[in-house]
Amino acid sequence: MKTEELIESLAGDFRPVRRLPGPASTALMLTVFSLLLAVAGAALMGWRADLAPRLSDPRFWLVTALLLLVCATGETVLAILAVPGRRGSLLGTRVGVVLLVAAAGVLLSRAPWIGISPGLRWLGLGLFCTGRAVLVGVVPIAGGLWYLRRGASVHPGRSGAMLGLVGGLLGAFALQWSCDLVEAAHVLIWHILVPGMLLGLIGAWLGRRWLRW
Amino acid sequence: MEISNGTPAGDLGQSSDERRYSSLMRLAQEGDSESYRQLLLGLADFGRRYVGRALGMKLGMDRSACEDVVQDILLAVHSKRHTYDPRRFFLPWFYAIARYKVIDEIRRTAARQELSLFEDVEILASLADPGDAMDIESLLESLPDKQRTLLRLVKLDGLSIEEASRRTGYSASDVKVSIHRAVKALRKKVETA
Repeated sequence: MKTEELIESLAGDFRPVRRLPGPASTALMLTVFSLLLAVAGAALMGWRADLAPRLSDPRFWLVTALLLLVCATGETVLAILAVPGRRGSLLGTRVGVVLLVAAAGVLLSRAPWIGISPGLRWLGLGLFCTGRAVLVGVVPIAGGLWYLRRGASVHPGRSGAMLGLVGGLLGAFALQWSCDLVEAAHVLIWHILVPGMLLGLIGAWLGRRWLRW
Repeated sequence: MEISNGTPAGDLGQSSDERRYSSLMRLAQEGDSESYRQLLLGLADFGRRYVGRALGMKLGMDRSACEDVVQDILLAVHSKRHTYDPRRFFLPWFYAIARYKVIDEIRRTAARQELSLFEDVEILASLADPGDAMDIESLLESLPDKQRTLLRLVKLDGLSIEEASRRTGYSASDVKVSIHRAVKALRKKVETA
């Protein structure tokens, strides 16, 4: 088919379209959607036994708020990445990394660094928490994939990785309300790093396959 | 002209092309099919120049293959037109799509070349029976040193392209091209023998 014939055919088949909402409103929508799912996930897993004393701990609130901010920043980056030629994703990623490092800093300032001796029990508890974080992250990832496929990401792998990372961090957010282990090493490794990296890698793989257009 | 799509389109400094195409796209999104036709005709020209520079001049792709990529770009613009925000610049949006499609084509071409290289090498494998060893050796002797060495390393010694590249100091693409030429030359010899 000649290009001119293709143009005539596309113009002949033309319909008005519903525009994709802007990144700000999309990010807000995705964040609220993901937050609701994370809270539902925490409720399903059961609230932590020491929730009442935790609520009076400013560091608990700080870590929780920072995790939420990282997720919101990640959702904003995803909304930017869904539009071709839109800039700001790199800046958003840097802001997200700074917030994540800040959350890790607050965690590390909290004693004890490690309460249970590293061993099989520590590993078992860690893997259990990671599994729960991954489960919480799955639905927001599916929702994000649906949104990104409506858009037109020109960086499918990067978008998928960011989506997976946000899913993992939503799991970490949910575990803040559900897991009563307070040791920093457990939270940092099994709630944040492992689910984030695992889902980030899976997301990058999914992105390269499902977000191409 | 370097323009950022992070800047609202109402700002100063727009080129006449930017003004024309963003206005056509805005009308098109509202349902004006004639504006859409004009837009696509203009974008086809932009696309031809862009693809010609990226694929034709640099990779030596022929004109009809470049035109296929231009059509891919127009189809992508059509299917993703809802992602354009009329408050933003249009051309960065279009060029991001064009670039994505050009990179896609480069990947596809690279994969095809890799495939055809290994299909060619498979033909050689059928000659590599023990009884034909003398023939293979005499055929290899007819090749230039570089092609013979690389073909021997990859086909007969079983090294990967990267391993052969590391061992000889030639780049991976140089290795592929040399083997491709060697196989072509051998095939010609076998066919005319």
